[in-house]
Amino acid sequence: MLFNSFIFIFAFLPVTYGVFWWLRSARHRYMWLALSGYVFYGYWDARFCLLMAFSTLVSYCAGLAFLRYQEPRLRRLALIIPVCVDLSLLGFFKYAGFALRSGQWLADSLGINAHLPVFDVILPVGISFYTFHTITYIVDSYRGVIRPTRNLFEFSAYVSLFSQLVAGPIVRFRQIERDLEDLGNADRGRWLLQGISFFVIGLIEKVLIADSLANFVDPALRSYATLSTAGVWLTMLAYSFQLYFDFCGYSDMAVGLGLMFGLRIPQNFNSPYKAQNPSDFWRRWHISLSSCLRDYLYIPLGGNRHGELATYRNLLLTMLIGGLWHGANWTFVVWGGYHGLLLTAYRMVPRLWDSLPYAAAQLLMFVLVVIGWVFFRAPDFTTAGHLLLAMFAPKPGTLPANSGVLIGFLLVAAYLAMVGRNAFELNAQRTWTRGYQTAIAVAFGACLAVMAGGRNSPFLYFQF
Amino acid sequence: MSAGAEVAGSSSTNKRTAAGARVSWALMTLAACLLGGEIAARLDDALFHGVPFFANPTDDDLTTLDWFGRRGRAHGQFGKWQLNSLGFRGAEITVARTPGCARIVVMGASETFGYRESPGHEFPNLLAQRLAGRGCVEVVNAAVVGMTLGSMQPYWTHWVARLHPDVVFIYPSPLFYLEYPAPQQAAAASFPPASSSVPDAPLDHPFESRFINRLRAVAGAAVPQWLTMCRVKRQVRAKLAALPARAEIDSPPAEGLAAFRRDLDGLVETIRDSGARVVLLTHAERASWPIERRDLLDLWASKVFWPHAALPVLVEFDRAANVIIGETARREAVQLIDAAAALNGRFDYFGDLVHFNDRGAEIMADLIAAQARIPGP
Repeated sequence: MLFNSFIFIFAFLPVTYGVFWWLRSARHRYMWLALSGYVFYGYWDARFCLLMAFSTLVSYCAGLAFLRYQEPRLRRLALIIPVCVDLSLLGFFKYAGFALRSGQWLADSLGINAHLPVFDVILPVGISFYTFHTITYIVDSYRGVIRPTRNLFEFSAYVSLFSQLVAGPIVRFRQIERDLEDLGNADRGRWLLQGISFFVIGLIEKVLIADSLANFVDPALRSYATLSTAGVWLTMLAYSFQLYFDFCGYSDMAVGLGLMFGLRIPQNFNSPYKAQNPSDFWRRWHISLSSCLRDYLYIPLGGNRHGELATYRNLLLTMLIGGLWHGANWTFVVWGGYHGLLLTAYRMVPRLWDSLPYAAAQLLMFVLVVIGWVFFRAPDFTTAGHLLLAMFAPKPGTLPANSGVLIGFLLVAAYLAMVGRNAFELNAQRTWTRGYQTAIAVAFGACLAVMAGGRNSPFLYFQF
Repeated sequence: MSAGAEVAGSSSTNKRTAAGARVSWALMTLAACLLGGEIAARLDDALFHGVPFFANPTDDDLTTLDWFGRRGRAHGQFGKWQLNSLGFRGAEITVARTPGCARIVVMGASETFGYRESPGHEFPNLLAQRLAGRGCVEVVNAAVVGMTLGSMQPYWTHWVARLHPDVVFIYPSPLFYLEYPAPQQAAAASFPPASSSVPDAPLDHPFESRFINRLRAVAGAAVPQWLTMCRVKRQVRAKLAALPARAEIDSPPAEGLAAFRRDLDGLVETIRDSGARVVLLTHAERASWPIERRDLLDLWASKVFWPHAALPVLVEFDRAANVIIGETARREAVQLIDAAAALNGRFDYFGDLVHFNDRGAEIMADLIAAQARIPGP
């Protein structure tokens, strides 16, 4: 089920919302949230609800083990076993086919006569996200950062919370623990208007901007070989804004939905295209993932505590794994590596980079990010190579169809992403006046009209 | 009146005023929502489909009635459908052929024109993409919604033949002949054969909310199947009540099949006489034979157009017509591509009984690209 679908907006959400606030006790609300999460997830493919339930139970039991055992050896076992189970599930569904394909390619390259099986299973939607939810819960429980819950329904409501289930943000238990504990006493009216505001802003970002840009990007990239240098740049710029507004829109909708149910989900995007340098970019882009990678990978690897070389290695390794998390393809690994190199380069010459004027630094960072998106979007290195070559070596060819309209959309998108205020800034500074209510109503109607025109598409991050 | 009663009365008035204010704000919010939706729907149509902001298009905008019958309206636009300056769906073309390029014309009705597919996914357009690697080949989608083989003859003679194609694919819609005589027979002889550049009559539609129309379409698609079935059956009953009484058609009518054969033979002959090579395609349907439970809604929905036909006849007639297509192909020594064999009964290839979805259109394009003998440029 998509947030930008009629069934979600006019059936699932009103029913879930109405029943949630009709129920009074926290326990009943946990149960209802958990149940609605499974219905939301099962609407895509009910079979995979079992997988999520299994992952939830394993992590819940790990939490109980941490409460019961204080002996370090047993606690380590309670950490390692469930994390391995979770990672095995992720590995099986997401990376097994990739590993076998890569193995076959390597064997062929070396002239070894190996016939590895072709492994092609359906990738359960959101597995990368809810696996991270459960792993962060287990690790935080082990470290004593949180006190694991004894309430299975509370934990289940956290893992299967529909607003963050399939494409994040990766909300850590500690970030919404207080709101979850207080769910029985939550005030329905307190966050409602702000929740609606976030949801509609997210819907605008997704439906009016990202999906409109997708109309140009997808056909252009289907015939990428015919694009000229300007055509490739226009297409990649459009993709850069499409990806941002798609994912940021989803995250803002998730925040809005959370608020409607009394749960404050943290910010996931802080205008990343305003970033001045690579480090700044990763503090603004997919904040929940980058902070997870920092806390659960970069710092345990040693962070910046063992000298410059070790820091560079840790940065590269973290970003390579971060790239692989996005998708089982070497292009994602290269994309991660590219950002690892940018972070390393910035760490080597921070003063030089920071001495650039504000606008120049922002533009430089944006262009570097756009180049990186080539690897992120291209299905293979041949396509990526072709696009990169066309971007930097003048090439005659075509522009994307309807490029006049595309340029108009790009200007609007660039203003909103690089100059305008994001949803959090808008909501922090604005009070709910009747004028604002009217504007929200107009925007909501506009989104419905475009959705009804049949242009609503799945969120790009669903594939991860 | 006591002070207490006065306070109670004032409090009740305040409550009514507050309730009235809330209702008026709710109505204004709804109006704002409708306004936003209408503007967005019109902007969306203008930016992505080229429909003017202030126009009120309907599906009438796609066709025009010429002296020889119905044809595509030049620059016709409605929803996802856009026609070029010659009234054909697809990219702009010129009447004169591009030197060194082969030209293919695909003739048919709504299945060929494209109905359920996403924009650009109609099979003639996909065929053009499939053939792009074989040199310069131009594919013209000359289909017109609701066109029978009988009406294709004057349409070919007076409108399409001037394109001088090398090959003409014909994908007929047999069901038009089920309740013979077919109503769409064009009376070309009663009109003077004049120049084919007849200007399209101007259109004047009353205002219609495009936002509401879009929402209506979404709501229609969301209705459960059993409810749709009830609605469709009611439509069939109403149609039967409005028509003169006639016995149910319980087997493929011989007159209809004979008319189909006659019109097909005539069309093949006419096209061949003008020097183009003909390729015939059998007609594919989503329904299986014998019909299954899942086919019932499709068949009932088709019965709205052919209310006297028993459900199995809707499938039997199509298959009987396919036999005729095969016989004509053999007799006239023209190439036959058996689309029915590849697509019949495939529920996942169609959006309804006869119209392809994206997947079906791809299969169809692949099939034609693989089997058709396309002349070199």
